[in-house]
Amino acid sequence: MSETILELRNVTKHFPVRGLGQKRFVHAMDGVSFSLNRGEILSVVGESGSGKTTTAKVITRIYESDAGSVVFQGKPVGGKLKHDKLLEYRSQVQMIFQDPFGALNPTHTIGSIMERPFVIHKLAGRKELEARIKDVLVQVGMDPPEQYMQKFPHELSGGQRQRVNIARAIAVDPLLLIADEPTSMLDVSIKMIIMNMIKRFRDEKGISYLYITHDLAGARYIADRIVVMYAGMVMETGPAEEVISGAHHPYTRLLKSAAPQPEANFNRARLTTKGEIPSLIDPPSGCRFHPRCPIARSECSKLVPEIREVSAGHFSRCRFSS
Amino acid sequence: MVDDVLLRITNLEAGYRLRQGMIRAVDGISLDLMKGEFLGIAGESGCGKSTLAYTLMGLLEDNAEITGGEVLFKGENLLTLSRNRAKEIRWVDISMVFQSAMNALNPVLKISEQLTDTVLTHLPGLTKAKALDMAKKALALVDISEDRLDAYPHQLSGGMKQRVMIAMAMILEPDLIIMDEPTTALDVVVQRTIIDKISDLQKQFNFSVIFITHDLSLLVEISDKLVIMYSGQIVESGPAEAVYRHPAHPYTRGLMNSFPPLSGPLLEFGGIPGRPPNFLDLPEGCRFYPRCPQRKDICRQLPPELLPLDEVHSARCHLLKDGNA
Amino acid sequence: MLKLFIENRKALAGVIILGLFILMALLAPLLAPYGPKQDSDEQGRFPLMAAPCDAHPLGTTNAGYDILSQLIYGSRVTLTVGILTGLLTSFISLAVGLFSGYLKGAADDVISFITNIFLVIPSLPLVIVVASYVPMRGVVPIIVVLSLTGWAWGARVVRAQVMSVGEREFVKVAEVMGENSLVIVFREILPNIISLVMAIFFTSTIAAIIGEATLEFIGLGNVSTVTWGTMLFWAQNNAALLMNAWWWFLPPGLGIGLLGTSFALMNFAIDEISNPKIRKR
Repeated sequence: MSETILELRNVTKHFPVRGLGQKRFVHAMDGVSFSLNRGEILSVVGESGSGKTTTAKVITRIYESDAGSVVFQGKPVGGKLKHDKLLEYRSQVQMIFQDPFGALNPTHTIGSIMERPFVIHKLAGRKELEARIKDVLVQVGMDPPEQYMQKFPHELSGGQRQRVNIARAIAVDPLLLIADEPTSMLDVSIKMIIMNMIKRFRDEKGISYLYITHDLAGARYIADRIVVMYAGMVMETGPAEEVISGAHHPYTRLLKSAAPQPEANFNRARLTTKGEIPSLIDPPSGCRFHPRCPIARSECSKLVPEIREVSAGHFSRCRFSS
Repeated sequence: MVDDVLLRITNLEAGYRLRQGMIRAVDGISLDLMKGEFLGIAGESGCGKSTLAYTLMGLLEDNAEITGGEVLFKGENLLTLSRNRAKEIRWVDISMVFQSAMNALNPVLKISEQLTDTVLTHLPGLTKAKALDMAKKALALVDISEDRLDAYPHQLSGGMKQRVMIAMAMILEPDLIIMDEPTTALDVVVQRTIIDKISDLQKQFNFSVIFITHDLSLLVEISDKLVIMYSGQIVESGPAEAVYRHPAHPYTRGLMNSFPPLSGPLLEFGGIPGRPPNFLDLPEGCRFYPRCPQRKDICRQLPPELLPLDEVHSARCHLLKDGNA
Repeated sequence: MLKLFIENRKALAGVIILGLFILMALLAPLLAPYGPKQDSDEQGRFPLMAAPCDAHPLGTTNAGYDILSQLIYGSRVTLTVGILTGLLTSFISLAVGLFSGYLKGAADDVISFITNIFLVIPSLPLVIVVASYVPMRGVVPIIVVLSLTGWAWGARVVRAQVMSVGEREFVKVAEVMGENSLVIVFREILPNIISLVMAIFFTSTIAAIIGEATLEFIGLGNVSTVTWGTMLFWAQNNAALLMNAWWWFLPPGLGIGLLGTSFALMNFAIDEISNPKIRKR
């Protein structure tokens, strides 16, 4: 059966804001909890300020959480780790970033960039290094690989750069791959190719994915389960199809309504909305969505609602929705 | 009726001259825009859509050249205007909303000043009070309350800034507003608000819109007519619903195959492998040939013409000649 | 990038001028008509304070030394000291900037504090004071004094750039990949600040050349060595300006100016290459 390989338990991360006077904080993540099973693609869906990128950076230890814990394969991820334990973690959890060009050092050739994972984790001796690199490049569709080894990042297209990033991440044979909006900066026609590749690696290699995106339709296409985040908190979690077709939380419904849906009839009812994503330095009291929520009641501004199960495996942080 | 044609572009050619050769980013574009029509231009990066927008606005850079064609706006050729006449037309009859409000708004001026500046530059006879009055009305149209008049751009959210841009484009009540990826940098929900607002205003004031974006799924919902651009050319054009339901060109089909749906059956979506051709090394025949899943020999040898499929829908593909749509 | 450098006209001009000076220094014995401190030959003693003439194209000093020969031989020390000092200063700037920029935290606070002290103190008075207290006179003290007082500006600039590059995604990628910090600094960050490093080298070298000339001019160098700076010292001491003996102070002065200009030209070229907006097509 599918085991849980990654678990976030009430993770909180606040960033101090510089300024005169009292200390203020950006509440980037507050009590974020979800779990990811082996072989699963879990999509974290949210707009800017939702905390989705911070979540990725806490899991990969770029940031340290202020409260709560990140548990990978039963062991906590945070805090000081011994060098060999840290290196082991790095070989098991990798990340693909949003900007394909920014993630590649412009002064190195592709071949030089692709060496690093093998060298750092001692996965190949000098003789087989080149063969291993070529093998991975072929896996991401860069065939013949020789053509690309001596090229520099600026000589590749956006799609090719992202393939290199993916190749680099899977080179260490990770258990978990965190993809932070991997297609949002790519041309439309390449998006699906990259998404299909990600799916294929899950099917063939059993890699689990945390797929971060703002695109609900993309999440539906690729994910088994979806986590919806808003203003640093988890609002809804559940099987992908159910969260979308049976959206419970008013914010999820708003996201769904706002997304382009040409396949629905051309004149469908639209949920009107007011307001915008709140400031994270001074988030709204109680439920953070209440200022914009069409069904908000007075209690919503007073108490942060708990997350509760609304049907099997489907959780929502709204008390009053149906 | 011919009178209703607001903009008629005929065989427009424009591009950039490099040491290695000429990049014709706009290579023989022809289209008609009616009064009050919402035209969507879809294409990926490098297809020439932004060059087209800037050519129409007269905002091309120094190293760009217009090498052919005609752009008739209400009967006048925009490409041969005198400097003064161009000034008279710009912003008063044709205005533009740019992609990034962050870059287009002056960070050291209040938004009221930027709006009144716009008015007074193009209508110098007006008083400051009148200009301010127009500014207030324009901001009200985009749902920005009067108390934000004295705000600086950095005090506004991304969505609000973009709404200020729309107000600025509308303030002189032009007949045509060109929008170059106006919502690409915004979040989904804000994007929807802005799009709905543009749609409402357009219906209210009956101006024409040329809306340029790579997000085809968005365009299908809001446009009257759709034009698909690839490698400097129009490869398909027609009413939005017709192009969506019956895409004729393999590239259009490939694009449609890149937007998984939010409802309905979840099929395999493929996208389009490969990249657009290098402008300095264009293929002899059809420019989409290297990536086309349905190509034939003739496609490699002969560049296809834009042919009508019916009165309103046309596509640039050899396969359609023998009824192979 | 090397290709772009060679194609750039300013760089080419700078390299040619520098190249000519280096050739002059290397081939001094072949080029110079006499020794730098030769005051006679088989035809007799050389004239004193002579204006340019056939035997002495740039005239002679008050001691009868041939100025052209002095100019040619003097280039050796001037060039060597200038370039060595430039190298040493840039090296210190780079090392300090790299480490304080990447390590941040407490180490950065301490290093920045020290850097700021050196920045705040006016450099020329500092250099003169330190040099005058050093018991030795000569080339080595000049090199040491100039480098120890001139590294601060470069360090500050390197630090800022390192911090900026360190925020770029490919550095985060390296961290997530498990790369260790030292490797990140040298493999990821350093190649991305190469043009800055070159600019710092050129600027430091110009400052070194001028600093060296200044120290020697006021007598803090070893006045018995022949360098362009000491030539100016002796010219000044013997009222060459008053006597309008332009052939004595103009050549070394022009030499120093041209040498500095050659590095400045190369610096402009680096600027143009790194910043495509000011690059001419």
